[in-house]
Amino acid sequence: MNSVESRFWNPYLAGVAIGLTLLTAFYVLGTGLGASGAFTQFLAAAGEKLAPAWTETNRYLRQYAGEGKNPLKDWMVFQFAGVFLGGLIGAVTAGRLKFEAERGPRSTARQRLLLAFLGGAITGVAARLARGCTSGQALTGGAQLALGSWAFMMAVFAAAFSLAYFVRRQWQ
Amino acid sequence: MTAPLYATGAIGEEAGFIAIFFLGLLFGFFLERAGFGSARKLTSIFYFKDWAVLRVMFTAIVVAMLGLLYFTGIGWMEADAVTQKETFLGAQIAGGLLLGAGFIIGGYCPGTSAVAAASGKLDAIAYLGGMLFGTLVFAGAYDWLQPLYQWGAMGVKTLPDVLGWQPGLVAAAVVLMAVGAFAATEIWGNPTIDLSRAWQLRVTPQAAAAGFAVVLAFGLVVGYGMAGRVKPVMAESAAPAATAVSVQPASTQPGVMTAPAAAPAPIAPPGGAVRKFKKGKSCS
Repeated sequence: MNSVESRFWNPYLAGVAIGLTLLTAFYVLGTGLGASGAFTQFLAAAGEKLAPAWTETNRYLRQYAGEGKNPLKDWMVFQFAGVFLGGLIGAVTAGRLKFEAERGPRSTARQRLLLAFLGGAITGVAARLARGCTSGQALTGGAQLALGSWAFMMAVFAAAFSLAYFVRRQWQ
Repeated sequence: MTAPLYATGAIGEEAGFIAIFFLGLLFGFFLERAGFGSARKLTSIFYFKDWAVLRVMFTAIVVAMLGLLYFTGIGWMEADAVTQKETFLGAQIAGGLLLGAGFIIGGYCPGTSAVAAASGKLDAIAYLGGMLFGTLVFAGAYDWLQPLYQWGAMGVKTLPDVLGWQPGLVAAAVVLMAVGAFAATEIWGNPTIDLSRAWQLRVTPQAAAAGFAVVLAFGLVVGYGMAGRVKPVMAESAAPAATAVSVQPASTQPGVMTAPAAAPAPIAPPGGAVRKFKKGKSCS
């Protein structure tokens, strides 16, 4: 274990901290945490600027964009900004801010970036289909004992464990 | 006390936005401290190397779940004002399988990719770009995807509904499952633990916390059980020490401790209006 690793918190302590944050979100707002929904808002905002006609007729995006709606004035966006800033504060104070494409010694940065983009694209579709991601469904819905959230969580673990072998090379 | 504060109108929209920004900040900070700004650390659970993802996630779920059940059970929070997740079983299983694939290929999930991008990870920035592209693909294919998107629509459905158990019992099962998984992953691959000498092991803070969670969960089982047995009028003297916290305050609000499906709204929100941050859409 190197010095950067040793500055990670005990996972149970980090879990309690995240659990209390989630509970506070329930108490203060009546809703939990979420991350992927911010991308819908970003897309709706970009669509309004770059392709207003398409955005207004698109049956998904017009729920978020259009007259009288500001897709960026949304709780998901404020929260996403908070997550980003919180991550930045955490990385800087721990001395972990480093510009790099994280990869295995025998993998190339190009390969890693391509796989990251591909994984992100698949996740983008998946999170909208499931109406949430690991934050909104697994954590938030999981704590609420929602049936769909628990089914989602099991499916995530099942797929990731069974496909891990095929993409192992990016970490070797 | 009217909580959730925003949903019941105790705080305004501006305060709500400020609150969610700071809650997001804490969330991002804690994710970074857990080590989740690194794709290598996040994915190493899927290579059976590092169980931090499982430990952090299940601990967080257990803490928030117990808190929610106690807060709504004793009447600090209105259960009806908390946004409930609707279940679309088929769509969520399909989405979960896809998201698991995206996670292991890309190395991140959406929240952790933001933390990693903030830590300077270029692959996380590529992942964020992919997320935006994937969301665009979904929006473009929205009409065509409708059958899959609506597959298995069941409305608000919880594990207690489906299992027919009271929520306390489901919570206890979740806590036992989590503690069992923690114990299994701690023992597995740790040659210094000799199970035949388990009784000589020192009680670690982690084991003590796990025991505390189990006690809390069984407090809920007893609390919900008693509320079910003595409803609609609670017996005020029937609260032993261990369950006093969960049973006594409920005696002034009959119905609060019963299963959500059967419980009427304990306190009608002012004007009957419950505000939600995002109307009609499940948040994500």
